[in-house]
Amino acid sequence: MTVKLSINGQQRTFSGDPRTPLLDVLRDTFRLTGSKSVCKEGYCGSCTVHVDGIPMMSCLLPIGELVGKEVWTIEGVGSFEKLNSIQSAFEKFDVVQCGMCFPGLVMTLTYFLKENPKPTRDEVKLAMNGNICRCTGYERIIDAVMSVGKGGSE
Amino acid sequence: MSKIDTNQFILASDVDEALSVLTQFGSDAIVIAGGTWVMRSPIRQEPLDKVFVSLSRIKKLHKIELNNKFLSIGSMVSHDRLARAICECSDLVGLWKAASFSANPAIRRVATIGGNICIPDFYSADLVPSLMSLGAEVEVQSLLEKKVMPIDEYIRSRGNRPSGEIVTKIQIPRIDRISEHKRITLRKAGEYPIANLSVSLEVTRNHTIKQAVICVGSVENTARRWGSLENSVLNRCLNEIEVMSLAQCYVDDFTARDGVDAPAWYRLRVLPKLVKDAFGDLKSQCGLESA
Repeated sequence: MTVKLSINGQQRTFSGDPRTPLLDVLRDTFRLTGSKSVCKEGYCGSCTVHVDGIPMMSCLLPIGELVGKEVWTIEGVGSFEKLNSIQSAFEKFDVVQCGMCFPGLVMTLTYFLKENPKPTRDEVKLAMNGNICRCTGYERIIDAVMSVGKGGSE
Repeated sequence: MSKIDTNQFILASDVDEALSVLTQFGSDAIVIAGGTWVMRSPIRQEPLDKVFVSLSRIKKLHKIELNNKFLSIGSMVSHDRLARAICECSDLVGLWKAASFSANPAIRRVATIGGNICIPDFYSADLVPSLMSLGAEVEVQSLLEKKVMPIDEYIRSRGNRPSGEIVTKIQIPRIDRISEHKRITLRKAGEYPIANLSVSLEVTRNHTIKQAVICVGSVENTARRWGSLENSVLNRCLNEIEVMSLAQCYVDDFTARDGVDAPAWYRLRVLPKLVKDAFGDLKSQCGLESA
């Protein structure tokens, strides 16, 4: 089956098993390795991408489902010269540890702040449910998000 | 990795097309709703080499209709959309909680109500006991007929249903009642409950219980009503401590399942606490202080 879809603003064509998870197509076919392959069961959030603007776990999305859809991965949310606001905050707060969860967290939290620009700390915690940081650096991640979404109450 | 067959993914454009394919391929085809269960088949050592019949492009199945008499939910509605649609309905608080706190946000945006209902091996679904407690009915369609049945009946028969049928919608009557949903998770169980409980009550002005439906999920393989507890709370005042004591008496009504997430005895041990929490919140919904 041939699947045509948009990835990071570019038209792409995939030919192969339509049941292949989007995550595998991104990494193996298009060499977009920013989305991490970790649990492959929708539990850890490391593979989160945006599909038509909504964060989803790419490990659970068969590529055949994505005909005509618009996919954005971590490679597409900012550039080396201009990071997006979450990426900048992560850098500023020195949040990065092993780096495995970060692509997914950036995708999840970028969407979250669009939906909720002035979150409380508890709202940030709830939004991060489903994105697991194995280094357990959650508090600094939350600090970084709060700095972007300033104005929300603690 | 399974052998590639490039013709095995059908994006059905309407229910009839999906039913035709399912009837044609029989057990070689599998319905894909949100995909969150089917795509994990390899982890469960289940084969994935089936014809995928996706319902995602069937507009009718994404419809939500809400009025004073009923809530109608298309089977492809996600947990997230359902939660947003009913967040202001005081009689549907239990369903709102079940849809709002199941799994994690990314899964809730994809996982569907139909998937929750139709998968016999997903023991810890949150929506199933909640829908049962609210007296939901399920519309099932095949090429030959369209049937409506109580969700309890559908759930009991779902493991043996013919392959050429689809759940198209779920309908819930809206009546003057209060409802709750509680769940307990453990780290080992991830974001899925080791036990959950849904309650729907009709109460008098002085907060005496005149109708009760109490459903338990994830404890046994199939969610079901807790009849003995329902009967014992009738004509009593809303009192979570009292109801918890009653729950302790009837907890052996269940034959709990052992699992990697929790042992059977533990699921039973936590049930009375779930009952207490649920009735405490129901009391708060009536404007009373919980103990």
